[in-house]
Amino acid sequence: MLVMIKSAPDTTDGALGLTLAKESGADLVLLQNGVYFAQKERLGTVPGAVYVLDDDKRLRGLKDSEMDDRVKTIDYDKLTDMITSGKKVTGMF
Amino acid sequence: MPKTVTLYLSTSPYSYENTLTSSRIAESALSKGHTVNLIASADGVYCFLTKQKAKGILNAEEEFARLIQKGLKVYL
Amino acid sequence: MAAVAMILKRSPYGDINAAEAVRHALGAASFEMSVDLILVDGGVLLAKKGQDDTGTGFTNLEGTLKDCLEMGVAVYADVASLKAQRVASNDLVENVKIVGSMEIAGLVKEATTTMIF
Repeated sequence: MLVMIKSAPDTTDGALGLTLAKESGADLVLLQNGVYFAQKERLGTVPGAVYVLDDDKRLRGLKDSEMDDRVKTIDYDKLTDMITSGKKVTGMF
Repeated sequence: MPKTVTLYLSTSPYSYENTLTSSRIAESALSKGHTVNLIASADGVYCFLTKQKAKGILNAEEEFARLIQKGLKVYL
Repeated sequence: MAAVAMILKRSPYGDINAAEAVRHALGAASFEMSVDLILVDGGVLLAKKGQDDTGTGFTNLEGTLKDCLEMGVAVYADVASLKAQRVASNDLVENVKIVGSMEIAGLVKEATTTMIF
């Protein structure tokens, strides 16, 4: 399962998406304002893989040095591959 | 193997980032040979009005017209 | 001369508010109005350095904010919001002033008009 979060960490939607990813063991894709979840010490324990969309991360001036080490940066083509290869996509929060 | 991707767009064209996100995902999926549907609902239907005059920002009419030419299927 | 306070609460790019705030700030400054642009909550993220719009289709709002500063707009960032949004002072665009809530209250009190984005 893939959970996509586009809302910021200080929103109810963003928190809900993160909780769902944690409790379901889903992989997580962060885009739009959701990219701020990729900063250090925001994610907590997440069982699945975490990805951040490069365009949206760069746009907001997020530097690699402030990112959680577990987060992998992807582009739209990789995101499309993930959407089309998975059995279930939930989002966007 | 080609699949079908269905996007749901319910926000107005210039107030949120969703217009750009949905167009970029659609373009990527189309380029990979997938079937892409876009269902526009609520204020999302405004993305498909003609004679939009947006400049200096992604023009939703032009962007989606371009993607429709590439095979995007839009349902209002 | 009219003094306008513009309060931006929303973070940039996710919605149009930040782009509208800087657009109207530029417009007011071009009419020689005194403009205070006050960044609170997610709005402080507008002043984060290093925004890269290459290939994204967006206007770089860091650049537009710098245009505002050059046009004489005074830009303020709320210190509590900077902490909450994890923006360090050395991560801020130059000449953005860091202020507390009392100073923000004073700016709003002095303004003849306040716009909230």
